[in-house]
Amino acid sequence: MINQEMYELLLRSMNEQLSADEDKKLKLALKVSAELREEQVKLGKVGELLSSRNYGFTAGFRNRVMQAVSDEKKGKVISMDFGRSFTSMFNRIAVTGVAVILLLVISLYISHGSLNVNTITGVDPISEDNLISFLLYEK
Amino acid sequence: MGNYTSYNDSELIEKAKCGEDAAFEELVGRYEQQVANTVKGMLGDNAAAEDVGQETFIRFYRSLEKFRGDSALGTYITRIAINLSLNEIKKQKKVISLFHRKNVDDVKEIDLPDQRNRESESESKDLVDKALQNLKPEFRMVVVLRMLQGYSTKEAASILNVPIGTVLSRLARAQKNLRRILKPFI
Repeated sequence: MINQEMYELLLRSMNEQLSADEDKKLKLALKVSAELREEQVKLGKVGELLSSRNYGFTAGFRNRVMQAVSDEKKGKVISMDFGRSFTSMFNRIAVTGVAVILLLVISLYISHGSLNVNTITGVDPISEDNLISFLLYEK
Repeated sequence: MGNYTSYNDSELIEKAKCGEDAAFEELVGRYEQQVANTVKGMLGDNAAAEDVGQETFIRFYRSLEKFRGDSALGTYITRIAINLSLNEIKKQKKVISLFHRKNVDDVKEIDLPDQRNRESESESKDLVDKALQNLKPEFRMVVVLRMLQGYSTKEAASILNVPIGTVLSRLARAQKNLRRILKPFI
């Protein structure tokens, strides 16, 4: 039966530097226990088995990656083009809009001689009396 | 197209950033094996792992601008591969739990090869794959990094963003399980 504490030490020794004390304990345990020595060999074999396992991708992997990268770039270019054309179109619309508004304001000023709220809204000044008579009698 | 084999990783990254696809292709070639070991160690030798491998390089391509070189390129790519593999495992678990109402972390039984065939290389590969897939993902990833890829405990801890002690305890438990699973083979 393997001493559990020594087995844990053995496992740790495979991945890290044990303290001098622990190292001494483990060496002593390995000297007296054939089972622990056997376990050390087997754990070593597990490590060998795993480190010898080399995976690889199927043929054409690199080409598939480069194709995906190329598609990715195209997607980026398309979205960048859309962004750029949208921005330039927006600028044109904005400039035209501002010009139209300016022309309207100038023409209003020329025709009415001022730029008060009534001129801009196109409503004539209206008194409360006029409003009441308008609401009562106007059909 | 120029010959890029003489360039180091940083030079290739700079060229790839400038739009030289061949430089990026050289990087893919250099790290293909490492990514394959990571994703196939994590997910098994199957089509899903191939897709995750491909996605790893695409993610790397997208993050070229962000790569500052604080860690080695291999470590950086391996981190992407591990994260994507874990995402894939989560996705697969969701699908499995939708169709099978059972604990997906249950330890699976492994069909061991016949005694007479055990010596063959393909059988041993198959058995290693099955043993790896039998480990829980958190144990599997330390085994993949430490035992398959050969990273040091410190490097593995840095890639997984966990303390060194966590890597060591997971490794010890994983080794114990692997020893048990592979018992008839060694």
